[in-house]
Amino acid sequence: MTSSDGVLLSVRGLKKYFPVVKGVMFKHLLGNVQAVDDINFTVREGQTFGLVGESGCGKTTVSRLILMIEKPTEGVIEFEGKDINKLQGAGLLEYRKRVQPVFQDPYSSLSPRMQVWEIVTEPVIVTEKLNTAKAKERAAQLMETVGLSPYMIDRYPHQFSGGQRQRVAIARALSSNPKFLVLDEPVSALDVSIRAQIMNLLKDLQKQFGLTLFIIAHDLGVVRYMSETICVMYLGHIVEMGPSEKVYSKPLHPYTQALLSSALPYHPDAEKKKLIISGEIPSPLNPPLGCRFHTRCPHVMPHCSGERPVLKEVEPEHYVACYLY
Amino acid sequence: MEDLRVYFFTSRGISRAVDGVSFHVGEGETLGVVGESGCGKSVTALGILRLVPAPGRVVGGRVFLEGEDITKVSEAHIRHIRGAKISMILQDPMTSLNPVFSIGSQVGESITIHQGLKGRTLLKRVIEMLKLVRIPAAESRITDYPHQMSGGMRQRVAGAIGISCEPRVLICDEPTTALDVTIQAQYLELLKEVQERTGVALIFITHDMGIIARMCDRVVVMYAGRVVETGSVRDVFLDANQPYTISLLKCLPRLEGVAHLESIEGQPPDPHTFPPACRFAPRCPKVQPVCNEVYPEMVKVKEGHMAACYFPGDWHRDK
Amino acid sequence: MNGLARIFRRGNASAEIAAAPAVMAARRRGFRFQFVPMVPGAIILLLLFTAIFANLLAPFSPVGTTLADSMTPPSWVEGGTTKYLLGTDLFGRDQISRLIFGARVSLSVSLTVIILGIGLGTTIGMISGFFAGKLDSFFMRVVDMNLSFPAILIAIVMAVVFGPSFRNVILIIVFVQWARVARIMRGESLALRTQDFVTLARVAGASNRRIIMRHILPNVFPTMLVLATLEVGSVILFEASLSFLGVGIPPPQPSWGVMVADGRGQIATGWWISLFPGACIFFTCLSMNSVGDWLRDRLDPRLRTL
Repeated sequence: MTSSDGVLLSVRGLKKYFPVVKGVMFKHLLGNVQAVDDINFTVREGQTFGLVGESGCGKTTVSRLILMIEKPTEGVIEFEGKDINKLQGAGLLEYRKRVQPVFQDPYSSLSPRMQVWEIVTEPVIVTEKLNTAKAKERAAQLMETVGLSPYMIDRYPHQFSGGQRQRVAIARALSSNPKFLVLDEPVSALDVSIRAQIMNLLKDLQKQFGLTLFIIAHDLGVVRYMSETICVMYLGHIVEMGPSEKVYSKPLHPYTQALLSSALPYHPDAEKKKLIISGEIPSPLNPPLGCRFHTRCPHVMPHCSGERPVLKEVEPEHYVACYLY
Repeated sequence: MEDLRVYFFTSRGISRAVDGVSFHVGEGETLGVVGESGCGKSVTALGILRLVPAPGRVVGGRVFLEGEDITKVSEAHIRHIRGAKISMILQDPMTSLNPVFSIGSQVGESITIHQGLKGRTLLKRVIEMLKLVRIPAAESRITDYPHQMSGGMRQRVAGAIGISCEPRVLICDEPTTALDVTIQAQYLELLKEVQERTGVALIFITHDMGIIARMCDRVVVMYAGRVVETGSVRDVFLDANQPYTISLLKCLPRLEGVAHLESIEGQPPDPHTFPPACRFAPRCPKVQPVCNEVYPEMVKVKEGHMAACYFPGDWHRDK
Repeated sequence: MNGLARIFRRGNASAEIAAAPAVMAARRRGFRFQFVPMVPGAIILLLLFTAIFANLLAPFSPVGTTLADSMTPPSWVEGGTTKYLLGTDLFGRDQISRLIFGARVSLSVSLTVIILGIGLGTTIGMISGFFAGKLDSFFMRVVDMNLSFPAILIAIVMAVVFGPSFRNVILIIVFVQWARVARIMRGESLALRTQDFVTLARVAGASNRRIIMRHILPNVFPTMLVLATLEVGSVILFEASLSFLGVGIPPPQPSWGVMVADGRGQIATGWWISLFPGACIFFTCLSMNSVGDWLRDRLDPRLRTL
């Protein structure tokens, strides 16, 4: 059941705290790492949703929550209108098939002692109890889909290069005819000349199979190229969200501005923007109150450290959480 | 005026990781060495310092530092050159510092070795160095251990170690790939500043064209163990003459957004089986029969801009 | 068996990739003598052969006493005869025959122990490492307790309680050995469970059983194999010490350990009684350990490049 406006995935009030415990025998709670703190967003069908942020901002945690590797502390993730954490039995299996991940590291994401056909079809093998002959046939098709030779299905992962491994990982994700791919830094471990290949492959596949992509990256260029909607996270909060042309051409939140100006130009004559923010990212263990960026913000105002700013629609579809607007 | 020239033609080994590379860097200049993983850029850096790990070996070529060929000097002498004249910053701030020594003693180590400072003068010098890399409250932080610092701070400490003996050349091997975007920008600014103050020559080894564009004066593009193009950053970026460089520049995702990225098909060749011909030929969109016969020599495109291609520019003009 | 075959096939392929061209060229030239693993490997094969065909090879019964020939020295020593090449013991039993049958006993004890001990240790280690949490804490405390007790003391107590027999000796050594294996295997599994491919398998909906059997086990297998060869040596030694203390294989069955113990009283007059079984133990352990080391070197670089 897809709701009328084509929302495939919706996240409401999502929180994930990791308790930090000290002591072996007598444990006491030091505090919570607020990896994800009360975030809301929706992903529409067929869309590419990009999530950017620096390390420790909680973007990977969001993907792990969607993939049900972690359970949220609070909040709801709905897929096709159903709360995924309430799914059971056949419904859960169906969800597992519909939502597939591709991880960053193509070396650790393929089991080194499995043949590629088994790696590629594992999601189907475990859900549909496919026999070997059928699985190999399916694997051969999938290999062709991602631009690898079907005869490679009997090889082991170490016989592939990084880019080829990432193709294998994508083939695996496609094996169960998913609707939704969660891509956690899909190209950052790859060489520059290979990145474009993989990004183009993902775009082609999206068109071919009508996939919805959820892409996480720290590289602003990658997200820009891939996604229509972009969401910027800082220390577990969403600070800005909107269509990517708008966010990139007219960033509103000071953090987004800083992030964009820190990104390196690919042109020697590009004006060297000087908006470099000072300081380091505060520890997520005891994050600053109010707006979490206020400790580094060039436009900080007294009430920034008071109440947390909420996401406001400043122009159509373009949201920002900042008191400047 | 010291004219610093690094010149060399290295390793004609069995795995020809670096196969006849030559470039030079002048005082106070920033040279970028760019290429993909496995193109031999890191091995080149280690070759300069004569630190190529076994089974690798420098089999040919010369490296001149201030007119002296350092591939011929004694082991004791090269040890003096490392650290004092040429020093290095490595990629990973987590492993390049020893976790069991305080940062103060690690910065002080090479100062003691090369300049023989001890006691109070050493302490003063260490604090000075930490201040130079903008570590806040340097006086109180010298007793900190690496695990007490963030990645960016650790990389600064590594930088302080690198410049502690006022080297003539500082080799930065992917110094910011392990850092976050905003921290990376801070760090690059810092290196620029240090360079302005000390006049050190920087050699930036990276795969990131963005860093080259922002930081460097000249650039050397490497592919499969050889230099394919070299010139000023402006010339290379705006008027690339070698197909690999051109494709590499085209396949970068930009912030301005493009509808479709061109990609380079195929994989870089295996260093054990480099063809004797142009190594980019199998992936080159404009390959000609001659490209598969003999390796093209570097040809001069214009003053200070060279490209290793039989058809430099031709390719470009077609577009 | 299928799994085993796969692992070996993979091993060859990756070794080829890792090998420098020089080595590859040497390999192409054909057979090349390598001291390790060839010599120790040959020794092990010879021992296995001896143990299996003991009754065909041994010239005399290992238990039959000929008191008239008591304490005959080896044939090349004065007073020795060619009838008993390595001499006889106090009861006039032929040393060679006893060594040959001793090989059977010692090797069968160690192989059984290895299979049971490594099996048990690996199972517990994998389960412990994979599930982590409370179960892991429980198992690891048990392992700690087991390891912190002096092994030989436990063994003696158990032997006294259950009485010495072939089966009990095996159970005793397994009891002493499994904890060490479990600890190592737990570490390996613990590292593997956080790998992306395990997470991916979970996301795909794979059961814990499948993950352990298809993802964890094949990846800890090389360690298991190496551990097994290294443990053979220590099991033989342990069995020897049990026998030496009189709580091992009950006499008159010859095991190498029993034979060393038998010679204890006659060390001044009949040095050969203890020397030859001692030498057998020494060479077996040395061979096993060097093959184990060789295996580890062969398998390790592969693990690192993964």
